[in-house]
Amino acid sequence: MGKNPFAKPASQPPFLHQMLGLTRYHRVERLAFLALIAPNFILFGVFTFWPLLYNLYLSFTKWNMIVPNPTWIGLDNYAAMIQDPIFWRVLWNTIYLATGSITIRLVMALALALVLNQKLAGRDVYRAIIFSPTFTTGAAIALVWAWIFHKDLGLLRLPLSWLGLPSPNWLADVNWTIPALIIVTIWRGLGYDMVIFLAGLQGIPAELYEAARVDGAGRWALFRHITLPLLSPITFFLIVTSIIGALQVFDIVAVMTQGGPMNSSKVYVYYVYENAFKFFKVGYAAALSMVLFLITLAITIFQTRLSRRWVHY
Amino acid sequence: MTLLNSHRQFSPLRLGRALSAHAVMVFAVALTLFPMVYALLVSTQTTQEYYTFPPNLLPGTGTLHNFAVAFERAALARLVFNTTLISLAVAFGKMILSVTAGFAFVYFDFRGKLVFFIVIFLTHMLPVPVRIVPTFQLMDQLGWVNTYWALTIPFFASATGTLLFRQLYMTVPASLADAARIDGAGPLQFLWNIIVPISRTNLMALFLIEFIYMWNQYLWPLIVANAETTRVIQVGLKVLIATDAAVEWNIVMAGVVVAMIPPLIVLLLTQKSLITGLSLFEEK
Repeated sequence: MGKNPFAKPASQPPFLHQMLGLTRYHRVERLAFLALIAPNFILFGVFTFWPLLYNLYLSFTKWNMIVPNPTWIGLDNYAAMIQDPIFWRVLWNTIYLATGSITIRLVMALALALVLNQKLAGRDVYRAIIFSPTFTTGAAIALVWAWIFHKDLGLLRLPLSWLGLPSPNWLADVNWTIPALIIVTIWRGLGYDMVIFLAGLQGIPAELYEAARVDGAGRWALFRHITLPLLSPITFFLIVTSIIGALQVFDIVAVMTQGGPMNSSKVYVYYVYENAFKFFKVGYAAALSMVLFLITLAITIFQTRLSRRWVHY
Repeated sequence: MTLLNSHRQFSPLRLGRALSAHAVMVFAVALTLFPMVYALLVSTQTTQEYYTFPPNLLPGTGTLHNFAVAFERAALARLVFNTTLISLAVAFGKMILSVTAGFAFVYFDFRGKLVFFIVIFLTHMLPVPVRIVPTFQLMDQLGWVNTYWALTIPFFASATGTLLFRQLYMTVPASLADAARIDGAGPLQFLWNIIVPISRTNLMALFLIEFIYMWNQYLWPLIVANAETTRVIQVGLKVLIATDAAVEWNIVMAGVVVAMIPPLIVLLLTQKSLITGLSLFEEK
């Protein structure tokens, strides 16, 4: 966490040329390096960087995948985006889903991590089970939730009926689709956040608490002035990765609601998919992808900048 | 945490605190498990057994029928085969490419290495959905749509894996490589006899995580391999729900159970090394 990826090794192992008994690096070494690294780079070049460039080009064109060549239309796709009410709705849905899910999830994950951060019988078992949804299959679990959210027969109606509450028509009511998706994303992401928080809590030196207690600090003061500030790099990391993750939600939406009803649950990547592969508006989809790319890039740059100032190490 | 175990002797306060901690955890475990357990239950029930309110929370009598119908209707055997095949291929491919690239970054020296490293680092931050449209075009031009190639080759390179192994090799003591040199080992012997063995834990973690990651892929297979021969299980399940008649949820759940079980088994068998491994992936 927070390790500088560009840091130099603590003790530089001998380079190949030293191992071969040569005094400086040699052409052989460069060739061997290139040979070892070539598969990775060719694959990245072909399947990552070329598509990104090609995507930029496509975003300035109009194309339906049927006629042989895209037609250049300049910035028209971007202009269309600004005037597209569905685009703004999609952006709002994505932000709503992200903030709802992330805030609730982080608070719950921190609470659970605090409870687990003590000697407790069966701790590893608790941790593994709560972590398990991280690895469940989105498309499959979305089908289970679709049935749990069923208005008349769904399992979720049970606790609501105990409280005497009517069950909302979760996946068919424009006001309830995003809350339903928030529930599913919290369920899936909670365990991961908890495990990361727990790792962070275990990294806080016990002496800090001891010293503060000697000074007469209470439990709340310890939490407020030691735990929270020392967890801030982790919290920040989780917020940023969760936002980037939330921008990419696709499978549960595709399976549970297909963006409906009336676009109420249409999220960003689903809209890209729909434009490209259902409406065959390839240029428009490419422009939407570019904007997603720029948003992600901005968040990443913002993260590296801000983490220096805001985060207390 | 010392806060809670500083008084060693028995005290009612401590007991109460432990009990409430267990209560919180049991509640969290119940909330975590109920969708999976419920899917398992419904997959055993006949239509009469599951189509009621309040929901029937006992195992039913329709297990064999439900799974048989699911396997037949969605060609589940083929879907499981396809998914297993591509997940294994990608996990192995990523292991090999990550070790060689990580090794090259640490043990080779020349100007311009930093540029390569920055490229890898940037790749690591690019979300996949950003490039689905052009990558699909590329698959189309290569004639790879609805082939296993499209499901494997674009996934082989691993920025995360490369960073992970680079990080590991930077902590290898220089004396190890020196000793190897004195023994007259060439770089390839060094890679195979020393570097690969010390990578075992990380390789295991990378393999598990990438296997599950591939098993759970949905968007890309949906776009690029939606033919009966190459479909993966996540995509194929929709056959069970996309009917004109009423959805038979017990059959759907049988399919869901088949799709969910392999990653969960992998997780349960290896939870320790997987969670340890995952902490290596924090940057992801």
